[in-house]
Amino acid sequence: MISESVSRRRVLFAVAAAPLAVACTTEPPPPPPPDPLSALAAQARADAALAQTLAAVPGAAEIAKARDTHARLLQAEVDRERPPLSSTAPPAPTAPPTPPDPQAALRTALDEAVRDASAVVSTLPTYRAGLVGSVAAGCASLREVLA
Amino acid sequence: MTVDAVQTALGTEHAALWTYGLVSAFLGNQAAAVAEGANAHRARRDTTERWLRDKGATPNPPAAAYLPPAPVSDGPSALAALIAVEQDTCAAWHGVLERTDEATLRTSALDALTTAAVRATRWRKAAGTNPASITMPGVASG
Repeated sequence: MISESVSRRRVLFAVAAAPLAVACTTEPPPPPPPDPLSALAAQARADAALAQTLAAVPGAAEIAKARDTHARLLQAEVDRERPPLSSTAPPAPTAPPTPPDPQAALRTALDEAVRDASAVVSTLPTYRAGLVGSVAAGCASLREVLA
Repeated sequence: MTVDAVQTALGTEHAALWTYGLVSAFLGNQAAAVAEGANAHRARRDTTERWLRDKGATPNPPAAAYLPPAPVSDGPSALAALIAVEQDTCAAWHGVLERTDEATLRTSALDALTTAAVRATRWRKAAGTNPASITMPGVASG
């Protein structure tokens, strides 16, 4: 009889404590995956910074201005969907060292920009597909300025 | 909704093809680029008509003639007409991108938008437009 009552108490205790244990061990939800447009905005900022340092290359100023506009539009969309916790601006890319062949460096950067933006278009909701598609086409247009 | 946007894009392809035919007489020194643009729009028109038929829609026929933004009478006005029609094409395919979740149509619309933006830039360069590039092709404010 005694062993039976202890057993019942244990069972009741275990039942009462189980949710507590679960509540204490549940991990916080994982942070959402990074916004794909965030990487594109960073790439645009880096391209604008690179083009700014290469003033000698014909068309570099035009590329710097256009990529800066791309960066602003993409960052605005990132911030719209997931408002930043603080009002700190995204870190400005540090001025890159002047590459040995500036024209080739700019061309490679634009090639990558067209490729990366085009690659994510198929995965985005429609309203973002238009924005990123236009950025991809804009970078293809900038390549012609260098040509 | 997607079909309407694709019909609009088909309309700009018809207009582009017509315009390339119109300007060829004034751009003899750029015959290769004119032929390349005309061929690209012809191919795009055909795939667009095929897509519409696959959806059970009847592709809109071309108009008898199109009105360029300014009369075409010489080289510069011919270039202006080509720039206008390529930028219209950009806007129409950008509109398709914003209205479809279909992966193959999106790929096709992105390709149409990108190649039209590249041709528009080449014609702007030929015309001496500054800047030659288009920052956000297909976007009204771009």
